[in-house]
Amino acid sequence: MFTYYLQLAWRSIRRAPIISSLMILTLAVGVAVSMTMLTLQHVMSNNGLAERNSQIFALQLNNTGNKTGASGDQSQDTSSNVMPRSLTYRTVNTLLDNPEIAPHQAAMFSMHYVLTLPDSDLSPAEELIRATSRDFFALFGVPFIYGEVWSAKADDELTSVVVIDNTLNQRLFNGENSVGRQLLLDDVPYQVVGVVQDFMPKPSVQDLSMGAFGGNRHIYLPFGMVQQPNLLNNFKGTLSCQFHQQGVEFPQERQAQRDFILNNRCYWLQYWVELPDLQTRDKYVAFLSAYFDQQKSNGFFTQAFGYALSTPAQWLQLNNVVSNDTKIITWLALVFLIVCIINAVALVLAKLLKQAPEAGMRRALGASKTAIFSQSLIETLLIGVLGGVIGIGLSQLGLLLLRVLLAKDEAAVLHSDWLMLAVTVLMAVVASIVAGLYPAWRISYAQPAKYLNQK
Amino acid sequence: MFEFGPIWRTILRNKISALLIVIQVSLTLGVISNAAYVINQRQQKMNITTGIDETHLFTLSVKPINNAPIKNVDIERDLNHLRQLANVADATSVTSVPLVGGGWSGGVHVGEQGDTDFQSAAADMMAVDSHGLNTLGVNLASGRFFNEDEIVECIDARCKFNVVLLSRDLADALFGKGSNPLGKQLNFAGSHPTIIGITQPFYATYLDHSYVNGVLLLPMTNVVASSSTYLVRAKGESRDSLMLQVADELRKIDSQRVIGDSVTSSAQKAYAFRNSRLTVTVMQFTIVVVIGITILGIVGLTSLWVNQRRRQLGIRRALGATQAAIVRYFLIENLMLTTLGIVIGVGLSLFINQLMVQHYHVSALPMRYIVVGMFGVWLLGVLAALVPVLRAAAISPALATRSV
Repeated sequence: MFTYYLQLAWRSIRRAPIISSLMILTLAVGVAVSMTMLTLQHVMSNNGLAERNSQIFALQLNNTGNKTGASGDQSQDTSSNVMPRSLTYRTVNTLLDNPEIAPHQAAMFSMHYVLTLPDSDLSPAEELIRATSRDFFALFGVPFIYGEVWSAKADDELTSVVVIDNTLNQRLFNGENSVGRQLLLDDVPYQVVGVVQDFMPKPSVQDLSMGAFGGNRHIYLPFGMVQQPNLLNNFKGTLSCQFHQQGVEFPQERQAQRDFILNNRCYWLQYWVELPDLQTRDKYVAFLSAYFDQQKSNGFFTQAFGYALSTPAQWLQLNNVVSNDTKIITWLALVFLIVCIINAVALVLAKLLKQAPEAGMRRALGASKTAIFSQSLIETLLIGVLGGVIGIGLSQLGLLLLRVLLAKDEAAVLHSDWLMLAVTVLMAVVASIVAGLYPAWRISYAQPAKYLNQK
Repeated sequence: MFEFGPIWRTILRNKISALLIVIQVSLTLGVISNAAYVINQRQQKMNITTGIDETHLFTLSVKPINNAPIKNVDIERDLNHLRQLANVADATSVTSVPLVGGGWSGGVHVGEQGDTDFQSAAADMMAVDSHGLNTLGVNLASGRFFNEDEIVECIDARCKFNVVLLSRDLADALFGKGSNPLGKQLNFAGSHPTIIGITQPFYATYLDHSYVNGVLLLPMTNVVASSSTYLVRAKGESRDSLMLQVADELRKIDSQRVIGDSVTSSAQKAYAFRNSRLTVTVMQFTIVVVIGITILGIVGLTSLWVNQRRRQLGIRRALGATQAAIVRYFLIENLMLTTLGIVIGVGLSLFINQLMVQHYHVSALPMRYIVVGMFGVWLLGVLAALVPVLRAAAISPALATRSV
């Protein structure tokens, strides 16, 4: 029966080519515009750490007089707080010095170096480097291919060791086991102690401080790099200091500047902690609170204790990875889809009412209302499927346009996956059913007598 | 004359179709007025005059391979060499790349804290050498620019500035509109430099005035000791070829360094505004398509009605109704529906705007967008209906006699 109705539907579409193609096109355009924007939002809000979502948290501490961060437990409402999105060295250092408070903690910042190889004609290139504590790999689940992570000592003192990822290992050492080999950063030799799998979540949720896609690195250095006298020359990122006393001046000499940044209320470090259960979390918060009070009594902090622990999903939201404009456009596109559906209803109505005499005849010859109803609905369904298929094509065009308009790193990830393709067709089919229900119902109630009389 | 009553009763017999038109018109108005407003806001943001010669400018950075600090003599050697090139109008070192949308900013003051005439403003700071103004292509409003011997060398040492220039808008913020602060002293970062010149207002690194009041030009060649950025102004149409040439020349002078990519200032500006441009393009596209779809919808539904009433129309014509009467009938019907849609649409526009104000930091929709949108959609409705209506008027009276 279904195939027969499908045949009928195809014939009916062919009989009224203009109005049918208008319907298909209307649905296709509506679905394509909304899918293009939904894909952008889908890609931008992709959480590369989703499987660790309930276990790892980005920490923020209150430093303002603003209410949002001022009261006790703020961990529930992290969607829009005004606390700084980075931490001071003193806080991070205290937390790292107490490894018992959480299974894993990772503090990090970015550096830039000129990368070369000894005795190689590799052309020098500037590389962004992740300086981080050794738990980084365990916390984010980055497995080692060769070697292992640096020692705990390397997170405290300057040690010339480095971990590189698979991509860089392919480029520099043809993918061989490069543990023990050397590479030069600003002409200083560093020894490779480990090679890890690429860790490139997009957006780079682990570090959003340099843009939504600006936090992925191929080289990892130990956190002990903060001890480097020339730290500020190689530091890359945002650093903001709050001078709590009048008259405090930023020193002019490089090493003094570094000491100033380490000792004062300067916000520049990203930090994640693994808290697998509530009990650990409570203990961790208790530790934080004690630390905060102690630092408040010596004047380092001035505000009431407040903190936020954000899951990767919350962190993406908090950092506005999906911009307000993108959200507005997406809503606009969905309203546009509604306009298209309404339009399709009108067109389907027009088309089906033209077919009313035929339906009346069929009713007179014994077809049930259900039969007429389902036949009509199958016809609009076919139109919906065709609209969805064309919609996929059009949305690919739309994505092409967006890629031209977007920045390179954003454009590179903007592709529709199978999920989005499936949603496109589904959306068109649902839209066509919505559009076809009323007209189908109406025509199934066509009075046979009226039309027979007319003929 | 106007058969409002009968027309309204006819509409009520066709509730669903009428409702479809009303909803479509109201949604269209809601989308168009809000989208047009957002487009206008973003375009205003993008259409700033930067005041610098952006189409002829490009930057590139150099960084020695060994972490040795760049020496001032090296920078001068590079720049002097570049200035000799035929197509180079001028070149300078800069501490931040122009038009990237954000950079080095800080507070500048007049007087001492606690004084009654103490004034503060936020400055977009850019340090240049004695060729800075000519390279940027900014004109002086009064005073003079830095001399060569006033440029401070600043590596791991206290940067003490004796002279500075302000842009007109920064001078206005600090000293009052139209003031003449030449010769006065600025209080900034522990030094008290004398103001030797005022430039025309321009944008250096920031592209709006939400963070900074204006530009402060400092006489200095270098602060980031491990790399240096050059700004080059090309003559005529030579910019693109010059970009390659400059990188080659710098590599020839000293190959033991990383020569960064050359980026034009126009490209920097375009990149800084990329999200606004995306929003504008997508919204413009949506407006066009939504108008097209709505026209289609109105044409479709009106045609449907005309077809449904062919016989009635024939009868009316046979009974003496003129073609004009038929046209008037359908146009009034259409006007009643679009007007109803517009009334609902105004409410919808305000509602959508309210949601955007609450959630997405958009400002309140000015009434003129709604008014213009109202008339636009109204006209759209009438014009879209005209085609099927004129066809309806052409129905011959004979039709009625034939089929009854």
